[in-house]
Amino acid sequence: MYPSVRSIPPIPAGDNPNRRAKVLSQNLLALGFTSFFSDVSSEMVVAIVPLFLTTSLGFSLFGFAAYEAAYQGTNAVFRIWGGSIADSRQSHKRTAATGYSISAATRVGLVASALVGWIPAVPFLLADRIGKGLRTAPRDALISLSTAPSRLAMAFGIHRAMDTAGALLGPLIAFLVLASAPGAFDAVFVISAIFGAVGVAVIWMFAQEKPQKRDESAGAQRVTDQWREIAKTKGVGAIAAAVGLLSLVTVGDAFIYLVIQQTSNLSAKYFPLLFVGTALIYLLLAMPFGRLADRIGTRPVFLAGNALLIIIYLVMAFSSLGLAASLLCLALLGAYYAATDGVVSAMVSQLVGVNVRASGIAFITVVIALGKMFSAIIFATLFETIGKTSAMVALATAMLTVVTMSTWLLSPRNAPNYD
Amino acid sequence: MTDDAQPMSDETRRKLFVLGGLAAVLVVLGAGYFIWAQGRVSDDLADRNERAQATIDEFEDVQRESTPEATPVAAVVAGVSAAPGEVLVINRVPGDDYGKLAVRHADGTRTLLERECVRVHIAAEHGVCVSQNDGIVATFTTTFFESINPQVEIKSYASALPSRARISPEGTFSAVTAFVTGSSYEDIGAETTTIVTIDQIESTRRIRGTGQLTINSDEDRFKNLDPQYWGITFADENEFYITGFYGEEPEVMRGWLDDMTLEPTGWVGSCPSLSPDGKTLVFKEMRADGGFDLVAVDLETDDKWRLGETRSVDDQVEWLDNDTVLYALHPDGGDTAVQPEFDIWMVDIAEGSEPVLFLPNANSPAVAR
Repeated sequence: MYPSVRSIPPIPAGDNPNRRAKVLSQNLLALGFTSFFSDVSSEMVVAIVPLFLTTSLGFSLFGFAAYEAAYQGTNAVFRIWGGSIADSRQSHKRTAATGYSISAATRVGLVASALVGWIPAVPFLLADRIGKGLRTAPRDALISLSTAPSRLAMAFGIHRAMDTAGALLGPLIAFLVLASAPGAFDAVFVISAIFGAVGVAVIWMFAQEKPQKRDESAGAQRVTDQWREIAKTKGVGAIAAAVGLLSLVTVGDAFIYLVIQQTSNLSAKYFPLLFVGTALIYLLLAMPFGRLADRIGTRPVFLAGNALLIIIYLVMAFSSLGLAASLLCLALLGAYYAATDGVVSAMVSQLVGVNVRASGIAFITVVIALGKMFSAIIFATLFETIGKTSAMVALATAMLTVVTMSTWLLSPRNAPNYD
Repeated sequence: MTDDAQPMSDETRRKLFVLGGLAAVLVVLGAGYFIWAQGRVSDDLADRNERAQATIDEFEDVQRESTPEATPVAAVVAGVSAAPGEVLVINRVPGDDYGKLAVRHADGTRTLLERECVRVHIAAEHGVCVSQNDGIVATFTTTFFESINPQVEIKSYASALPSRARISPEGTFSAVTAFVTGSSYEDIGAETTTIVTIDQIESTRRIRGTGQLTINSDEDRFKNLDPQYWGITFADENEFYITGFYGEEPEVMRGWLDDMTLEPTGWVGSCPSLSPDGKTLVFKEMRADGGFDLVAVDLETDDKWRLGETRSVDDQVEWLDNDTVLYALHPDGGDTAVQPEFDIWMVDIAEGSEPVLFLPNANSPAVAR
């Protein structure tokens, strides 16, 4: 068998391979800024899409629901596809940059749709999701291939912080534009296109491919070979099982907001602040939690992040969700994202070989996404059959059980760690 | 970069220069487009305001001729005046007064009030005004008022676009339908749904959500895990009709607040509205082309017939009296993104009746009784 390449650091780490290893590579900066600009661009659109579709295009409520379902369905398929292409051609930058370019190009279509009545917007919105699905895994793979293994979680933390900053700024810009030019959706899309174009320019100009050596005698790697290699990697199954189970008992943040807004007597003016608060906590904690994960391991941080949900569930079960309790929930939610979102990519990167890095990341994130889709159904059922308090207590118990199981699943015996 | 990387190469510096130039050009283009769009929006609004004013003047002239004893237009009312024969509406004249609550007097003139709503309803001197708040997250505010002396209490929900509002006949409950859009960092898990919230007006506490409804029926479609509800109409302080959607077609359900149960009526349609005498139910029926017909059902005989309105009506009708309904329609060209225009029409529920314009540039009629 060809010797495992994963023990070879992708970047020569120099004399001191540990703490001092370089984390801010040119690729990380380039991808961070690309994500920042692209997220400003896409969140500008996401924030106004309900308004645009229903008021401007006369979508019915159910038309909109159908759009959302399609929007979610396309993502998983293209995520896997993007990972496979990037790995088999060793073209992580090109695949990610293509994904960003597709998304940016769709803004031009949206401008046309906003200006010309008969041009439909939905195909462009779906194409945007295709672009997003394509780019996610290759981008994360490129971050991991550009970073010393000992700094992986920190690198992902920096990236997620920049990404979230863009996600915070986007809606703000969109609403400022709409506030001063009511109904000028085309102007929002033009400005969104400009942010998207800057992001695309950054990735094409500044990101660099990190081609990995592989067994040349085997020729170009086929997709089936990629998946065989991922399947054979010891620990991938355990991680997939752990993240799958965890996401089954993870309540989507949309639902947490919904429960808070339905239970509490908070004034409407606080809600945007709570939403922004979650994102700010995520932004602030993404880097420190990444650094922590590099010191003590990605797995304890990831598991602890999931354990935070137990506290959120219990607070939601037993409090009337006043300002303090709501703030606590949303701060914990931000901390949960900071401890899990980038960390899970780092965790997978530590395990999966460099040849199939993007596919491996795509696989795990799709498992998470599918788990959360089922969790939404489970949660809705529980909520309606046994009521809020019992549902939250049941979920907290389930989460405690699953975190315990995952601690076993992720123990070095089941999922060896190559650090 | 803070590490000991080699100094920035000429190549990188050149690229940064190109990027800066590109960004500068794009920013100038974007600013130019924004200023152009802003000018276009305000010109367009001014045009529409002028046209709407002309339509209203013409309408008022016609009304005055047919209303022999025209009541003099009241001075601006501080509270909400809702004397019998007057109808609360929301002003839809594009411009600064768009969205203001207004009283339509018997002679077809209107008095604007200093309160903005997207939907209003009134019964037994209790009113509800649902207003939308601008912001990063769409939120709305439900304001309850007494028709003479507006005591304001506020309830709020996030991420929602309000769409229907009703007060029970004796003014005990208010029910508001809103369209909720999920907001999430994640691609999967976002949800879009309608919520109906029922408030007890005196305590301004939300007492019920449609999540608490159970259906007294064994039919398979009611096992749907994620039913959607919208558009309540109250029969009394307990019984109500509501639209239920269980995955196939929206249908009219009959329900009771005391035990939060529902039973199917068998009518496919949405947004029911019950006549004041409780005898007739009017609701929307989906047409093959996606539009809606208004149909009426006599609750004693179960007779069902189509109303005389042939245009598509997407509204929950309001009853002017036991034989006449009011509803809003977009005038030609009025279905715009910004400050869409509506006209209120009325039609006798007898088959084949001709619709008559009740008030141009207004919607959400609420009849004081």
